[in-house]
Amino acid sequence: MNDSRPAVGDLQSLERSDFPALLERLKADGYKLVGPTVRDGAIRLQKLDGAEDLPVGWTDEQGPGHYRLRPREDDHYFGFVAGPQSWKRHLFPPREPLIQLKRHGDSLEWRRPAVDEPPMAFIGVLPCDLAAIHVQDKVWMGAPFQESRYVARRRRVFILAVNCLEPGELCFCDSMGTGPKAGSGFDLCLTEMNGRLLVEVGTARGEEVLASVPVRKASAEDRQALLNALDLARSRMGRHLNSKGLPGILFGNIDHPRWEELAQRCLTCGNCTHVCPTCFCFNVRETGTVVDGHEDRERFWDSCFSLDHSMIHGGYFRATPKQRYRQWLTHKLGAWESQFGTSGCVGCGRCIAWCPVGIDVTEEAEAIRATSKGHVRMPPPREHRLVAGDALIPSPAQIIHVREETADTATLWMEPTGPYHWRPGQFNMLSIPGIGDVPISISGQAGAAILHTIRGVGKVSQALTSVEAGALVGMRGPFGTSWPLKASRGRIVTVVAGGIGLAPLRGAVREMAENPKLYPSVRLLYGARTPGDILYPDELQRWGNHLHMKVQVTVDRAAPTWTGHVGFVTNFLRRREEVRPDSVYLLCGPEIMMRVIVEKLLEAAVPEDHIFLSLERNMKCGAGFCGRCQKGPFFICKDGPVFRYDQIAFVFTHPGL
Amino acid sequence: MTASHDPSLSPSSRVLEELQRLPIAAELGKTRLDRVVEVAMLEEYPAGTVLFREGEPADDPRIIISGLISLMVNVPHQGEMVVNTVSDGELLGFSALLSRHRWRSSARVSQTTRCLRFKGEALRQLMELDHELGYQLLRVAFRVATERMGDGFLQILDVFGHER
Repeated sequence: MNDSRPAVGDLQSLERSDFPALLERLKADGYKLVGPTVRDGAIRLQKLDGAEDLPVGWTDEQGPGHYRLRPREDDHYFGFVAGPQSWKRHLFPPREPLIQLKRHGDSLEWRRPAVDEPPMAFIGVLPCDLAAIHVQDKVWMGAPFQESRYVARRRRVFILAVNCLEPGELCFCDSMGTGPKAGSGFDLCLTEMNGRLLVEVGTARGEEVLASVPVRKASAEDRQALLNALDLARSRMGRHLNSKGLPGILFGNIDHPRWEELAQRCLTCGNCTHVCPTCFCFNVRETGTVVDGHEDRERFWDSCFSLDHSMIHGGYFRATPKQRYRQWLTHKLGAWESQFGTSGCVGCGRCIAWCPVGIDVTEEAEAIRATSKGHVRMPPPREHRLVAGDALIPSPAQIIHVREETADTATLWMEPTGPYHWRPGQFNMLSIPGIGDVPISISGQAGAAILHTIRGVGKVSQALTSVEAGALVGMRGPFGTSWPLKASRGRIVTVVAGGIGLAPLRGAVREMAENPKLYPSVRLLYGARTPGDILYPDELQRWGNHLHMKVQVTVDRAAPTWTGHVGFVTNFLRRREEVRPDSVYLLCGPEIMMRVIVEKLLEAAVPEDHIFLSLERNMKCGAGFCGRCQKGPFFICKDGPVFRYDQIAFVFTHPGL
Repeated sequence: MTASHDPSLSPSSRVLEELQRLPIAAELGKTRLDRVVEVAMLEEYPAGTVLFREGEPADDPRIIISGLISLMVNVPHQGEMVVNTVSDGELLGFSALLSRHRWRSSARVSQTTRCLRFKGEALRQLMELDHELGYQLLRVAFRVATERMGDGFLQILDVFGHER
C-alpha cells in the first residue's frame, strides 16, 4: 500500500514485483509502450506488451566495431547499455510521409498528414538518450520553425527514464554532462537496485501514474545507496572525451592531417549517423504519380556520409571521404554548439560500437586536440524568432507569365496565395508535383507577382523552366536573410554578380536604382559566360542610364562582333584604386568567383564587415531541419543565404565544408 | 571621359598631365617621370582600328586613358576569338617592356580609345640605363601580368557554365 503519496521531486521505492503494474497503468491510460527488447541479437527499441518484453537478465558487451548480447547473472530489467537504436526513430521515424497533394479539379492542395498514432510511453530511457531527446527537441522545436509532426508526437510522450549504473566500455556520458544520472525532462526515473526500484518523480503526470502502484518513500539509506551507485558508475566510464573548447579546436584544425588519415579508415557507410541518437539529416523523395492517383512527398533519414547529401546540380561540395567524415565530426562535436547551444554528442558510444572499422570519436577528437595547430572563436548560438505555421507545406502559386531569359534560364511571374512579403536576397522553395522542390531566390516583384529567375540545371529546375503560364506550382517561403539595404543607405555600394547570381541581387539593385537619394553611388559589375547568357540586358541598360549608377558587364568568351568587355568579372577590380575601401560590397555568384573577389577586396584594405555574400547549398526543407545546407556552424537556409563576410570568414575559404 | 584638353598645353605637358593621374606617377618620382614623358605621346583611335597583330614584334606599350581594346587570338577553324579586353587606366602590351618579344594577341579598338603610347625601343633603353626605373616599370607590368593570368584561370574554368 502507499505509505505516502508521491510528489514531484520525491524519491520513492517500488518493489520489483510491482513494476509490471506501472506499465499496465500506462497502457490503461492509452499509451503505446515503446522500450528495449531482445530482437535479432540486439536490444532494440520497439513496441512492448508489458514488462515481460523487457530484456530481463540480458546485458550487452560493446567495443569498437563490436556488440554482443550476453546473459546476466541477475534478472535486472535495465542492465544493458545503449543498443543500435535510439528513441529518435519513434519521434523522427526513418521514413514518413511529409506532404500529400490533393487535386481538386484545376486546383492543388498540399497538406501534412496528421499524426494519428496513440501517445507513446518510452520505457527505460537511459540518461544519455534522454539528453539526446532534448538535443533533438532543439532541432525540431526551436526556431525559426517548428516541425509539426515531431511536436505532435513529442508533446504526448511519457518518459520513464532509467539511471545508468552499468556504463559500458564505450560510454562517456559523464564527460558530456549527460549521465549517469538522468537530467530533467522525465516523468519518472527509475534506478534499478537489487530487488527493487527507486523512482524519482519528475512531473505531475508521473506523480499521477506512480500513485497507482504501491510505493514507499525512499529512506536515507536508499538515497545514499543511489549516490554511491552513481559514483561507482562514473568511475566505470569506458571512454572519456575532453569537450572543453573542442568546437574552436576542430574548426581551427580543418586542415589537420588527421582528417586525411581518418579517411583511409572510414568506409563512409553512414552507420555512425544512423545509430547516433541526435543526427537529424533527412532527404525527401516524391512518391506516386498522377497515374497512381496520389503525389506525395516522403521524408527519409539521410547521412552526411552520402554523396548526395552535398550534391548541387551535378557537383558535390563534399566530394571526398575526408570531407564527409570531417563534416560529421566537426558538426557533432563542434558546429552544434553554435547552432543549438549544446554539443551534438551525448556520449552514448553507439557510433564507436557500430562503426565497422571501429573509429572512435573520443580518440579522434583527442588526437586533433593533442596536435592542434590553433583554434578559432566560434559564433555564439543565434537567436531566431519563432515563425508561426508549417514551413514544409507549399501553397499553390499560379504562373501568370514566363519569360525566356537565355537558352537555359527563364523568369516565372508567380502569383502567391494570399499576402506575401519578402526582402531582396531571400528565397522560396518551389515545388513541382511529382518531381520535387528546390530553393530559388526571389528576383523581383511585378504587381502581385513574385519573380523567380531559374536556370534549368537539375530535374526540378528544368521542370520549372518548362512550365507555361496558367500552371500551378507549389511555393513556400520566403526563407533566409536579406541584403543589408537599410544599412547601406547613404553609402557607396558595389554589387558584383556572376552568371545566375544576378537574380538574387536584382531585387536589391532595383531598390537602389529607384532611390538615388538613399543610394547615391551604385556600381554593378556583372560577369556572364557569353553575350547570350547575360541576364536582364534591357534592365542593365536602364540601370546604366541612371546618373547614380555605373553598370559594367563582361563575358568570359565572345565572338569579335561583341564590342563589350571580355574577361572574368574580376577584371573590373584589377585597378586597385577602383576598389573603394569605404564601399559596401554585395557579392553573388559561383563560390570560386566570390572567393577571388573577397581576396582582391581584402588586398585593397576593404574591411571584412563591408562585404556581404550569398551562398548556395543543397536544401530539402529551407527551414533548418534537413541538415543539408550546412557550412560550418551555419545553416544557409536560416542563417543565410546572405552572410556578412567577417562572420563566415573562418569557414568560407575551406573547400569541402 | 578624361582630360580637359587644354589647347594651351604643349603635347608633353598633356602627356605629363595624363601620367600624373596614374598611381605609377607617384612611384616614379619627378625626375624619372620626366624621362618617361619624353618617350610618350597621346593618341586617339576610332573603333575598329587594329593597333597590332598577333605574331608581330612587340613594339610599343600603351596605357589606356579611356576606351576599350579587345585582345584577339586566331583559333584555327573558329577564326578570331576575343580573349580579353583592356580599358581605362590599364596597361596594354606589357610584353613590349621586354626586348625581342612578339605580340601574343591582336589588339583591336572596340570603343573609341585615348591612350598614352610609349616608344618601346626608347623606353627599353631608359630601363636598361636606369635599373631603378626599369624595376619600377617591370613591377607594375608583373602585377598586371599576374592579375591577368589569375583572371584568365577563372575565365577558362568556365565557372558560369557549371555554376558553383
